[in-house]
Amino acid sequence: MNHMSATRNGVHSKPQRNPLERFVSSPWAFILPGLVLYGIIGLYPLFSQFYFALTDMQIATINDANFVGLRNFTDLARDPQTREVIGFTVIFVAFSVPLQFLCGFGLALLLNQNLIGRLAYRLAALTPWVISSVIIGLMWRLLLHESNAGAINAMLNALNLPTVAWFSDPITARVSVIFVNVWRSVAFTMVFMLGGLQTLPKDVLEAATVDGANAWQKLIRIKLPMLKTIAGLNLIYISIATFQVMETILVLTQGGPGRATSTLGYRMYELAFTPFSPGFLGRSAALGVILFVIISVFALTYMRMFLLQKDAS
Amino acid sequence: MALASRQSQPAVEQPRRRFRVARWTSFTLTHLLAIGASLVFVYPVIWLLSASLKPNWEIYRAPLKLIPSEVQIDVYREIFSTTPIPAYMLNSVIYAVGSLLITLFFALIAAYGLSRYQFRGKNTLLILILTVQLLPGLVRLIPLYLLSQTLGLYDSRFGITLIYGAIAIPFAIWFLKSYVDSVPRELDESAAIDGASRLRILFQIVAPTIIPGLAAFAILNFIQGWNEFQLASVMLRNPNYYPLTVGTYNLIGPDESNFRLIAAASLVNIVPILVVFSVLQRYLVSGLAAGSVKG
Repeated sequence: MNHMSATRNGVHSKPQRNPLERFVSSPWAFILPGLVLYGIIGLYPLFSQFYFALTDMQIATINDANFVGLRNFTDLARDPQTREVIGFTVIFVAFSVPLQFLCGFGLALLLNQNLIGRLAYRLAALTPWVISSVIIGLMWRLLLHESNAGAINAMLNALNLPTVAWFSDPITARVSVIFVNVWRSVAFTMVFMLGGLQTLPKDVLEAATVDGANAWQKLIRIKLPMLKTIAGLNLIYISIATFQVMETILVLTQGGPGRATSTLGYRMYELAFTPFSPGFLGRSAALGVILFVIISVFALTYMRMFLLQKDAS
Repeated sequence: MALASRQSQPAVEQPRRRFRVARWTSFTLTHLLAIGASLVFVYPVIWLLSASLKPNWEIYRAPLKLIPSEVQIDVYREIFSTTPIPAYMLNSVIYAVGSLLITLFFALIAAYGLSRYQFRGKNTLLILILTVQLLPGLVRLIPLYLLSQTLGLYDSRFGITLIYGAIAIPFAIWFLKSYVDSVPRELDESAAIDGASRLRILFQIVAPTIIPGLAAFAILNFIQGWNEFQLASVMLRNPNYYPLTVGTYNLIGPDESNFRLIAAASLVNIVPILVVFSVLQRYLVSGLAAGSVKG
């Protein structure tokens, strides 16, 4: 990267007089405006959350909030609902993420082959990816409708199977929410892994074919080891996204029946901003802090993996 | 060629035919699999369209038929004449396009600065810009709700547009920088000799050469803006300002009685973005391959 040193003094090297002129000809004149705007709107709120989590702020009494120390956290720890919410969050992430990854990677492998009409299949698989999560929720509320009008029950009916009231029972409600979330997000993993598959060196794969390796051997011995990092990055990325799923649950089940389908992310939104709660901002912020800590662990792992991969290449 | 080899070497014929049969089987199987997978993702939307066009009596009737016995478009007429959905659509366009322009302006100059200058701490800064995107946007909601009231951005069209524009900046910088990197510096330098200022170099020389990248980013960003719900549902109180997602959700709410209305309203959300995406997808596909995964 020797061209960098050429531009160190700037493309035009005018004599620099006052601090303003020096700033204008420095890289910060380009970089700072965007970073400052992001800092105010994107970053500052993330960290001021830690303060709000220590207050008893409510929507109706925003200006009379009192500092209450760790009371929100102790309240949460004592609330039996919290255990249910954390329990389902673990289930939700533990099922959604591997399912999404396996289906997405499988689709990527399938649609990376030379197929007639390959682009059409790829675009079809991308459909959920362009639709808003709220609308996906509305759509699946109809598809999974308990009456015969729901497409899924109509199919069960056609196969002479009993119909299911998907959202009334805790187990089927959980299955539905996880299924819809996977359906919605599989495309992301597919695009990500297709990108990875296309970076594989063709000559290595051809050499393996010449040596008589079959498709399975090529997948296990060549593709998987070479895609290890990119698969890891995708897994972390989708875990972070899955912790924050909220619209799908809001529209499909509103966290019910009971608390059966409430995740941390959904509960956080519900406590603060839905008519089902009196707008407990402070307690919701405390849940946000817990979520923030969990996600930071994933984000730091992502950063480390990314750096290792960069060093290796 | 196959014919010639069969005549000259009859001994090889048997395994070769078996090989060909195996290849045809796997050819058929992979295509069936691909068609099946496509249906899993497309069928729900087709079903939605069918449900929105059916007469009411046919909706609850088994067995399920995709083709309605008569096509009724009255729900669509209702949506466009008696509900505020057209106004919501206009709001969505304003927020998506406006925020796109804000993001593009700030991110492009930052990407240019990060691409063309070398300075201490640059790599750390780049990694930080990558990492902040991973921080949870959901956690931002409450503080942003409060901050927007202090800054006068609450319940305002400009406010929500600026917020959308600002939070997309890190991803945009990361995405656009790889494109700016690919523009040879000689172009900048020759323009500089002609006396062009840096901003002019960026907008008149560099930007036009990376139009595919800008287009790919624009599509991604527009899809995101059109689909956003979380922030808009918190930052806007006046129903006149609702984007389509929030408007549709509030119109329907938890009500399930009007099956056809929900189906039609969902489609009104889906169709415009699906059209935009299908028309422009070739920019996206090439842009994604070049930009996102490579990092």
